[in-house]
Amino acid sequence: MAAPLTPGRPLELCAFWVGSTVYAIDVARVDEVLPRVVPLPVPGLPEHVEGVVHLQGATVPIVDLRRLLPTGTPPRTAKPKVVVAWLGRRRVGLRVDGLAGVQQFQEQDVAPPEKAEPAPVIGAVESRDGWWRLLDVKALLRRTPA
Amino acid sequence: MSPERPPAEFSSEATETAEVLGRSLLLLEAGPEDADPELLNAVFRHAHSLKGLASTFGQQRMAELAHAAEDLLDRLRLGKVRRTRAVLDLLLESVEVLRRLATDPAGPAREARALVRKLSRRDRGPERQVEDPLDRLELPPDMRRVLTEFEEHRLRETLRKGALVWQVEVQYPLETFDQELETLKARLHGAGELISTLPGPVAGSIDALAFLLLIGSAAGEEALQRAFAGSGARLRALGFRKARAEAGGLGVIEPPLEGGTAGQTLRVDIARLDGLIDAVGELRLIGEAIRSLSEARELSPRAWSAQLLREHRQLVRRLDILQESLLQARMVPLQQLFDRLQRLVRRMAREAGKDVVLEARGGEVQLDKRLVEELSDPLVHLVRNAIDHGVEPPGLREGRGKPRAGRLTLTADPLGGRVVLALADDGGGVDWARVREVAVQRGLLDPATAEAQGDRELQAILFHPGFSTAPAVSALSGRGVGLDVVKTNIAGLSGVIDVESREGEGTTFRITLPVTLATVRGLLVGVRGRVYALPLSSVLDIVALEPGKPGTTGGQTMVSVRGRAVPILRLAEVFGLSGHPGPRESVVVLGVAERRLGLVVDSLHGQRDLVTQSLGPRLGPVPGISGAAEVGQHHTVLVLDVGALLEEALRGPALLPVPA
Amino acid sequence: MGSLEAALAAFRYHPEEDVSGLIELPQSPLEPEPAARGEELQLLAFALGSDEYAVPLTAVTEILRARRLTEIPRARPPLLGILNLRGTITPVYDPCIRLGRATDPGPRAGPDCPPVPRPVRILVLRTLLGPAGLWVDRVRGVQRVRPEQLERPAGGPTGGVMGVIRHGGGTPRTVVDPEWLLR
Repeated sequence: MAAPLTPGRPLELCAFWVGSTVYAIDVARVDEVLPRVVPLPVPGLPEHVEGVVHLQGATVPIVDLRRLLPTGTPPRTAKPKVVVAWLGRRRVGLRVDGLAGVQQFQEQDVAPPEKAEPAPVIGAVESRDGWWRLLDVKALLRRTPA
Repeated sequence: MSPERPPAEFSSEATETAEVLGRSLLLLEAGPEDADPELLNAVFRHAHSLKGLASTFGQQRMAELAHAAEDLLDRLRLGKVRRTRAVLDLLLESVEVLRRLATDPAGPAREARALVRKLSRRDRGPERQVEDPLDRLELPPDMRRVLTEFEEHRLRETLRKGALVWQVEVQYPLETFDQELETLKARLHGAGELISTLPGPVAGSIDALAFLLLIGSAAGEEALQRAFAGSGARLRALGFRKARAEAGGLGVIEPPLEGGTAGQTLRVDIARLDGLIDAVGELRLIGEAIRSLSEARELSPRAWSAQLLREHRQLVRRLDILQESLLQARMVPLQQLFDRLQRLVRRMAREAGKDVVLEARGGEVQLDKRLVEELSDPLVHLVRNAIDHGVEPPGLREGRGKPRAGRLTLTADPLGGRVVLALADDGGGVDWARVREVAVQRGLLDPATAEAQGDRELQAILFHPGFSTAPAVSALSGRGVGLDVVKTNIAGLSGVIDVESREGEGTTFRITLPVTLATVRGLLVGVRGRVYALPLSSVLDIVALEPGKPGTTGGQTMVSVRGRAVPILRLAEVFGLSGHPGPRESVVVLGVAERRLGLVVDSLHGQRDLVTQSLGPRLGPVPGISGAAEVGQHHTVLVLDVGALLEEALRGPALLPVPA
Repeated sequence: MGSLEAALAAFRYHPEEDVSGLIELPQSPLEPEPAARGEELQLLAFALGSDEYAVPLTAVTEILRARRLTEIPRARPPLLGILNLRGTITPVYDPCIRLGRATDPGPRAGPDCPPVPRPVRILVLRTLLGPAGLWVDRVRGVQRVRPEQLERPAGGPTGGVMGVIRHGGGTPRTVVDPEWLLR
């Protein structure tokens, strides 16, 4: 169901820090951003899933992206957050080191990813404050942590 | 460069940080002249984060203002600027403008520029800095870091009274150190005050633990030596660093504390250390067993495997215990939070021109350190609410026939897998009519259906962002009371908050937090071969049941305990347990508020620290049982629900059957 | 640039996007999907008395040797008692009651309970309300069946019975939905 690449179609991204790298996802995925959560552990979940949190009646798993992506030190001003993102018809909470901003781009602004990119990144854009890597969250969550 | 409209999440985070900054400044203002170094640090940090946040999102004007404020605060915390009214006013004004800039970057441009100028000018000048005597005390910085606020206060008091602070290095054997410390305290009585017990340098042998004690005493070295006689302790009075006079009249101040309250260090209760040391000892034994197994030549391969497997099982068990103990080490009592709230209540009440007293119960309940920290903000908020808007001014209270002093009651009740924290005030209660009115005004309620809204709907409105019934913004609360922030904080802990209010009588906020671990001290009792646990805080007395003594009064069997008639309940009967009572039954007298109940049990099995757990969502409420706890290895006991048992004694068995 | 186009399209959010294989929370195994794709069904088979049953293997987190449970006072059947599994309290139930079988197990908890026969096991299942245990007389093992070998009741699953397996003669095995069994 791929839509053709139309140069005019904007791509609005929401970016966040995981370690010392900034990743970005489609802002349409972002449902809300939670300041701090203490997830309830549930037995039988994979390791990178910390537990679940109940949001407005729904059960949302919390995934620590810091366990799935290369580490590094986030900037001192970053405040850890949980980005509640839509994946299909479910929501997943993504624990990140801090928000990096929201910005709109054009599809042609997307540069291809680096060859040695360790994370599932489909490309990168140059934002006001640096390079943001477009993160394929679905691919990331299909992997199991090393 | 005119800043474009900032993204929503920046605005909300910036506003939040500015709010926290504002509140901290107010606390600073309301506090004593030689301000709490922790508070000063916190204020500085908030300004710093605000600056960082603004820069990240390209909000130049805001970053500049925040930077100027941060600079001034830095000088303030280092003592280079005195904490005067003028300085605080300037800072508070800056916070106001920062708040506005968070959502409207172009708006207060002129004011921002003016403030930046004023803030930068506000530093030079030979203002005498107010010194914290503790800074000059020869305390090593890492020791200073782990002291609690209370301990610092005791140290300051010691110095103020002209007494000395002594540092004592002492070692006690592993087996008996807790008794030795108790004995020491008794011996010191009169001669000095044991202010702090800290981990000391490495002990001389593995069977001993070393401590560093801080003692305040005016009694002199001889008296102290007597108290420590025979323990081989080394005493040293702590001296003072010389203050160096510098040009401009600035003294040297120790670098301020890093890390603040949330710091990475954790004070662990000595009894816990005990348990951890034991666990490690056992692991060593297993290590030994495995080593000798490696040398066992006489075993057949099969026997050898079996033995190895056995040791492995033991190892896993011990590691489980160690892990559990370490988890428990993260638990801290709520008391420290309660103490802090007590201090805040005094300040806030004074500021608000009201008379308010805080009573707290349940401070001994222990929760994970992080949870206790996260609870601080919402509770402070609720307390401020209660003082500002809940409790009426003394004159009005008298007019209503209430005592002049308003009463806030803070309670913590662990129930299996939940902790319920309640803050109740005996003020005027929520004016639901006014809530309706404001809700309609704000467009939160449809005027047509407003009347029909029940308590639950109105409650939800109370927690709605930006809702406030206070027409004037109170200085203490800053902007309209954000109960929504409280709710968000609690939700972040997977908890819920609700409110109950009776007009003219008061309001109670109840926070229910699911906690996987909560520790409670329990009494173990035996009934017909089963063991149950009772929360020790509800146990008032234990007496032997004299056969033939119970009499019936008004349908209830009673027993006399220390001259008072107490209704009794036979747990075996309540729980439908068959079998025969033991030869010597006991009556455990339980009490909650004014009510008493004597629970008849077959045997007593001592006191334990219990880690209580929920019975799980599936079972739902089980009448008479509040949760489960593990006692010893893999032995689970049920924790009795004293309140429910009291009800049963009054009304007969619960109507609720145990859900299947 | 073709692959980047495709990648970008997948990058963008769409409610109907393919999210198979991602984190799954414990779901009711009544979801028909695996069977619908023609994949094998894996079942955990057990016996209650002389009757044979099975539950989808995905629902089973552990199989324990039966042990004495902690008694819940005034508990009503089918609750037999609770177990503390590595820190989580897990209630254990007698499945016979829900399945309409005659049963008189006697107490399984408390000091009066009779010794437990050796083959008895506790199946720990995951359900929407958390883990729960089933007390069974004997575990037969894992059985793999193709979806067509499972005779579904006409008109879809009813009363929690997902179907019956009759192949190979012998006693028919009733496949049950754990959520229903433990409601």
